[in-house]
Amino acid sequence: MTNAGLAIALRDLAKSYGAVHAVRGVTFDVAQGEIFGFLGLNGAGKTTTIRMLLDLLRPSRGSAAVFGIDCHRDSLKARALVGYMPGELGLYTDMTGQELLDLLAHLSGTRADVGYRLTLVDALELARADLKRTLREYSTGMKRKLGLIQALQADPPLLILDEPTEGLDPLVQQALYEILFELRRRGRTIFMSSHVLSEVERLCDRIGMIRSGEMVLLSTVEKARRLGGRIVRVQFSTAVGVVALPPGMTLVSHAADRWQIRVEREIGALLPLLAALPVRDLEIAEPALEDVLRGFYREEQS
Amino acid sequence: MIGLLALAGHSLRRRRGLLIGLSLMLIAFQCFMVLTARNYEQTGGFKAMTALMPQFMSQLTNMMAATFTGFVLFGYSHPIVQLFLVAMAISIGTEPVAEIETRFVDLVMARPLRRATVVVRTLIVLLVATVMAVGTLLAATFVWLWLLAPPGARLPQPRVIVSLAVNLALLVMAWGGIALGLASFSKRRATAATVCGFLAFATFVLDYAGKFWKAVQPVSRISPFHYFDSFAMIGGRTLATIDVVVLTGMFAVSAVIAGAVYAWRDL
Repeated sequence: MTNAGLAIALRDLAKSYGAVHAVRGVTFDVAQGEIFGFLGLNGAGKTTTIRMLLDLLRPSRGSAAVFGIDCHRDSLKARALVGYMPGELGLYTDMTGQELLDLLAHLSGTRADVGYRLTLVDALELARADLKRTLREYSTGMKRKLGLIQALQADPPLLILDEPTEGLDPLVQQALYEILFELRRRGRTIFMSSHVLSEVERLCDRIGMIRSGEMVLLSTVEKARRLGGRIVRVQFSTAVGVVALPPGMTLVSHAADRWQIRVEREIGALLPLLAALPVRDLEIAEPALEDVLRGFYREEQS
Repeated sequence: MIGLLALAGHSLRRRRGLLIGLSLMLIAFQCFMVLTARNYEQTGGFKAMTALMPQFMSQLTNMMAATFTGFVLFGYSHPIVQLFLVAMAISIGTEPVAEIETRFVDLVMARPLRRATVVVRTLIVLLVATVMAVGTLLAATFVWLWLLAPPGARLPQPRVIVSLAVNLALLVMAWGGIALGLASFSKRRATAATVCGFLAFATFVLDYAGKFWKAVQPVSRISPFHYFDSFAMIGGRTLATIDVVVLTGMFAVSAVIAGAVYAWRDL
């Protein structure tokens, strides 16, 4: 893949701290105009990768580029195209929300579009009066909303959001999803890390999973979901014994009158086998992305 | 440039309480010094003080501490004044590492700003704060002398007062630069500030030891305080070129080191 049309291009990106390898040669692309979900457990290397993209951390090897601009060599140009919401917001609590947003707009080198900012404030259900209050009076959720507004207010072509819905109530999460869909509709690219699998399934076009510093999955949501295989639940009218299943099928659980089978290929080979058994009911469940990702998480933990 | 000014303005706004408080303290302190000197001058206290003063103290101060002029200007070399000013400089010099520690730097440096901007911002804030604090001390000296000096007292020469203020400002700037340089290697402000504070105290003591103990004198030259010889200036010496060069050099070298380290390190 060439860099044309890519919002993000990571090539063999690695970061080590002495003997600790936080990120081990990560390579992937994010296309312009897509929402990309970057997944992984705590300490997997998500934030380290993101901070290298922003030139906050210097890679041990490899390169990162946004819109074809090298994030280290031409860091200023690269960062001018990015809006970033850190996972951990370091704020001076003696500032008001308004002061923080004004300062960060100045640092972005843009004149703040007050109208757009207030649209975001309203959409994320932060009262306008709250912007006049000092940040020490803000709840965690309010700080997170402010973090989102500062990232979005310059309307940059690329948004990097580190766990954007953390600390937000469900209604505000929904409002954020709508904002992100609207941004994608307008051609903005969104690169977000998340722990919330249902959120990733709902929002993202593609996902990447990092485990112990290595990419272990890079796929569209649809393809990733298929990795889990369909689950076939069979209820029998009388007790039946366990029989050998065709290749590509696994008996996940079984009781005397119930089986649960994971089918990773076509389901046709299962039907003759079931036809010979006293089947009372049959349910075929579409695979859930969460199940697939949980599988990857479990592998990491083990 | 807009980013630099915005950052410097933000930092100064956050420190305005501290700077105003420090300035008020220096105004009050200088008022106290002038009032006390006036009292001694009017009651003949300086004659008694001269008689009681130990020989080493007489040598150290060129006998100037026991005069109206010397007492008034002693404020510039008083440990409390130096302590507060150096503490202010260390606090400003360690601001970038505090921003790294709290991750405020993520919000700032995710924007199109050069890393050097953070260092230059700190130098600007240091300069403004030092000029404000030492300028206040200088202005307070002139105002309190004008208002409170007893008739007939021999007043300090303006060029001596200005020399002291400039030398003190250079000392404060040097400490700010040293703090900035040392902090650039650190991940935590508390660590950097503690090391700087300890270093300041140790070199302050070293400088005093060098004044009284010849064996320590050569070593005391490494102390920045060595290059602020307030008693020599109270005795009539003007600002020495070597002091200006060394303190400016300490500041410049530290600032360059800080710039290089911040450009290279992980934030």
